[in-house]
Amino acid sequence: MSAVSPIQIRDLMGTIPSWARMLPNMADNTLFSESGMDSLALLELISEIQNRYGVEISDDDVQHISTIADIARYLCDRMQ
Amino acid sequence: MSRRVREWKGGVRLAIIIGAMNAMQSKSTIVLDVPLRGARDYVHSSDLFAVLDGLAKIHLSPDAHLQSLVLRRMAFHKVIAHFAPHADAFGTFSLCLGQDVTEGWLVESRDAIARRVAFDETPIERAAVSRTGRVLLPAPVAGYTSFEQMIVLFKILCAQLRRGHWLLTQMNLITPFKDHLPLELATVQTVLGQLMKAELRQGRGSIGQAQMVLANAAGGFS
Repeated sequence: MSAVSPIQIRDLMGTIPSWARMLPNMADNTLFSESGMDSLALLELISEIQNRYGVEISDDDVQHISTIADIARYLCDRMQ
Repeated sequence: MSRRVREWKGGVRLAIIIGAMNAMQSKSTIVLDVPLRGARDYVHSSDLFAVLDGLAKIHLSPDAHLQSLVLRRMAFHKVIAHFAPHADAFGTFSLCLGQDVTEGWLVESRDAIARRVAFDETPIERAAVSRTGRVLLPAPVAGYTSFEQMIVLFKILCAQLRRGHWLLTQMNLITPFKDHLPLELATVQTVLGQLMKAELRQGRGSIGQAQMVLANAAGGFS
């Protein structure tokens, strides 16, 4: 099993300028919708996740990804 | 030419480059003369590209060029280029001269844009050859810049994925466009049918990458 931690997700987000600015104010369970990020930022985040972890994220899956912790859990499940 | 002379000339060139960069940054802000294009009520990326690339050539050197352009939303009013970080920026850019890079921030003012220019992209659409995941021009289309041709090709490529209002959100050039060479775009990545990254090719080589995103019904990314 490949464990992906919220810290690793934070590291990845830190490489995306729009997310890097927001990270200090975001807890692992902060909803992205409450962080003021727009759909463009979310698409860029998914793009980086797909590039880094080699997983294709579907429209259905993305509905369940709304926090940093969600992403880590989702990737752990997908990469088992 | 002796090694000492070469080093001296190199030092002078570096000093000139740094001087030009500093001079531009010391201006702090420059109001960009961007028109509205065709029937659009927002500033088109082609006009931002043209004015910023021109800025590099006028203020830095004829060899300088716009290296990157990032647009987070549309702008409807006159645009001001800042050479220091700005919290309200809707976009960023970088100008490149050799190894030296000057960064800038694009801020929308409250002043209306009075100038409008005509734009007909159908000659580029007609000339484009579209294959799955790839769109190219057999030859450059006269009367259009490489950037204008790239945008039209990119929209054709995006339409293969989903029809809608696609907007350029990012472009990074390894080398400047060469207007005498035909362009080719190839899909690199798609995300949720709403984001596309493409490689830009000219003369059989990659010149960089660009990204387009499908705007919502209101024309934004909210």
